Amino acid sequence: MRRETAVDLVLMLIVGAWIGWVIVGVPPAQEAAGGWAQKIFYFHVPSATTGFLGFLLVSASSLGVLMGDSDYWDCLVSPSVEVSFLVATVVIVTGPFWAKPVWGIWWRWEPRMTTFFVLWLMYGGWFLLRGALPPGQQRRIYSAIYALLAFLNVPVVMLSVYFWKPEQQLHPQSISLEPVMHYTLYASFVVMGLIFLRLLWLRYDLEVLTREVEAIRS
Amino acid sequence: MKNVSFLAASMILIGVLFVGYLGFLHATIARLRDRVEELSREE
Repeated sequence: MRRETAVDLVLMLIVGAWIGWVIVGVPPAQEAAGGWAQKIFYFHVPSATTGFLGFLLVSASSLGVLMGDSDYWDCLVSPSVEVSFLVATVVIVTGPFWAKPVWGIWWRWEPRMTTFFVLWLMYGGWFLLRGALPPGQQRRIYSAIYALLAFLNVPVVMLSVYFWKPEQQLHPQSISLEPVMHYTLYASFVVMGLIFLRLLWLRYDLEVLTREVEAIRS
Repeated sequence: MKNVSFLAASMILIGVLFVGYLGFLHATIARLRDRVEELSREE
């Protein structure tokens, strides 16, 4: 068996066990918290946290582009933006499915939702910028500066529940969970982190191969 | 079992996103590896 297949199989077993536990093992919350829909929490919150850490990685590699070996670090920028953007998309997609049964609406332009949507659009804009510029040093530098500017929105999203008035908020400032829910949430952080790392690893391989093909052609 | 459809729908969407992306990455990597081999042989 190839190493890559084995890694994917192990990851699938872990993800399968995690999904099984979320569905069967952990009890659903009370009706006011969404009942069964509350379990979306175990995908939604870890995706958001992983996305933030992913965007932090984007910023670190973008700093590397600006301050160090730009070609070396640039190899990590595209993969980390792409995978972090995918994880952020999971947050955007799962949010309304939790909001509808709990708050009675699919979407409202409240602080957390709005700032996160703006963050998602900003990193979406990174792909447009990247695609619009010809390959080379200028593209590397401009996209690194843009990624660093986009990251300024991450603390705004994280602190949005404190920045705006409580009557404007749907997201709570804090939550109380039963111990089993706490442990499940911690496990969800680990599993989402593993999924992120695996996708990042593959996307990095793809980036290296793409550059290899370009180098042979030129 | 109230609201279970919301959980099911969001899990299906997450599955489509992650598994679709994973499949795309594997397929593209395999295609590029073949291309590198082909180009190296041509050289």
